[in-house]
Amino acid sequence: MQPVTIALAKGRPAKQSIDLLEAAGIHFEGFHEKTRKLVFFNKDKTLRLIFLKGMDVPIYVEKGAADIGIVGRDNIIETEADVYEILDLGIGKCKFSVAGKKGVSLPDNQSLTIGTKYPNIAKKFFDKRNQTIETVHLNGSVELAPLIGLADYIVDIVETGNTLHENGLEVLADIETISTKFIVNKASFVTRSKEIQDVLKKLEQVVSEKNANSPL
Amino acid sequence: MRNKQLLHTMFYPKQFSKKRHVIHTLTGRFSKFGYQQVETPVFENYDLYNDVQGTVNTADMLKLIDPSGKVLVLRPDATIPIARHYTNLQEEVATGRLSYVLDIFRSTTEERSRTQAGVELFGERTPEADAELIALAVTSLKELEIPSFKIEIGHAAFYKELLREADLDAMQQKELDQYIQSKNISEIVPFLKDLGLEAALIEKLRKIPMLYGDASFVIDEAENIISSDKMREELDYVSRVYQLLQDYQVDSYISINLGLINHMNYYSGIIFQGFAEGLGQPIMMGGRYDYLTRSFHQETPAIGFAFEVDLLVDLLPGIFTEAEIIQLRYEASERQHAFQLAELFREANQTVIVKAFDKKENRSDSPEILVKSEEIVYSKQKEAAVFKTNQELLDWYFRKDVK
Repeated sequence: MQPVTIALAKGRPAKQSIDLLEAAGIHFEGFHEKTRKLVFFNKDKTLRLIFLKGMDVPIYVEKGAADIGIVGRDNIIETEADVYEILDLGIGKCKFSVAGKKGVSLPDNQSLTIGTKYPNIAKKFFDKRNQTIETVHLNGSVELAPLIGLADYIVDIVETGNTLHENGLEVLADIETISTKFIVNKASFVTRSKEIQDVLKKLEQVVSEKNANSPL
Repeated sequence: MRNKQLLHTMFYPKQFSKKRHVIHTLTGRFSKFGYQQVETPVFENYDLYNDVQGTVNTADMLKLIDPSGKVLVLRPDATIPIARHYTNLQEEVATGRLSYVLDIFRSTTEERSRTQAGVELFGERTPEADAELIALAVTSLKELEIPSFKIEIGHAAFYKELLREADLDAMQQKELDQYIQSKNISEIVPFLKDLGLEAALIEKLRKIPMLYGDASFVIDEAENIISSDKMREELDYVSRVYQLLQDYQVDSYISINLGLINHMNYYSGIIFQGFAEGLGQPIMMGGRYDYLTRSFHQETPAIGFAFEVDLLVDLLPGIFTEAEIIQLRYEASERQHAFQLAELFREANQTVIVKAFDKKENRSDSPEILVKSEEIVYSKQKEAAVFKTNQELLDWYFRKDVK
């Protein structure tokens, strides 16, 4: 039997996800924070953990290269992946916001240029406002775009707002809140139902205990 | 995000032999269940699809304009044209059972065209008819030896009935469909609360995505959210279809999913889709559409499904072993004799390529037959044999095959 493959977004959010898996009693052999390995197995080799770039996780899961994904909802919305978004893990909470230079307001009666890593999300938000935008698809240092004059505003993930503040920007409008999700390939959910339900139940347990301990 | 290619995937010979095998197996299965194959036109009137509401999104169709200025579309669906013609076909097809293998064109898929093989059953509105189709789908996938697959069965009206109490507008309903389809439970509740629905109804709606899995479990759970006689009827219907599938002995391939939604909203009863391990898209979709024919004069109950042939081709295990090809060579004087011999092999279903003998030619791994004036020499790698007559060679060759 092939192991069930769990795809995890590598980098900063990985730590919290791993902690959650550990709390659920799911351990991966030889994993430690500084490791550069990308593939791990649990003891009886029924689970395989792979590390991917966040934006690739929903794609791997949609195409069936991974059965399960643990990834920020930002990446799921942006890739428009066709997957089951079964469980909100309650970690990695942040929001999508529109930001611009301090003191500038967000006009609603003119076409705007938006710098962003998430053109689909930006477009959907402004579509709802019946506003046409031109997006500039960036891959990092998005905060720079309004300062240099590449774009009027940016659409990006905001956690604390510190990065914005340090670069002389501020949030002008919130789009939506996001957090880390447990996603499943639609075929795996039926064909490997038992194994997946097993992981899901364990995580559900941990998440609900956590929520009970820290009411929002 | 997704790049659309302009062309249909090119099938190279090895791949195509798989596709041929898939189509051959499926059409064979369909015909053994009494389904007769039809073909619908490639070009159809745009108006046909524009008039039948709630079927194919007009923006997804590939359109062209004929010299007189009339707008045509490339066949965007198989069920609609077959349903339309069924009123005329009725006399010829008394059993109501039709099948097809057709290319479907939509601008939404990456390739813009894909091959579907499916069946439609007209004139019966019974759990027996529904189970027959699902059993046909399961046995087809088994015959194709698709490694691991499941069919999910739902009911198009069950969740819609519950929605009727909510009174949502089209946009809100679309958003809710999206949450239910992706089993996005964590966002359903806040979304419904924002709409100001009653707590009891929210509680029922949020359960829909989890009405999923083994029939006995789902049907028990679903009892709890039933709020009308209509919903009870629908649930009973699903359960009767499932009992029939137990007698077909295919129930191990079945999951019930009452959160299943098909975006083609002509479906009115049982809906189902098939999934194979390792593939996120359904390999098969279908359902009951009792009212679609109403758009074409006479209302006839109907149910159908379609396999995605190109996906099945990708799922077929391993490489296909091609039939052996005999290289038949002849000396100049024996040309007529060689042609005759080649034809005898072909009549016996053997593939033969004939060429004049050339000394410089490289030897290959495939069997070779050299027709000389006094004898016929067979050779394959180290194996060799000499024959006097055609018949001697043929007898030997086909006996060898049996061994």
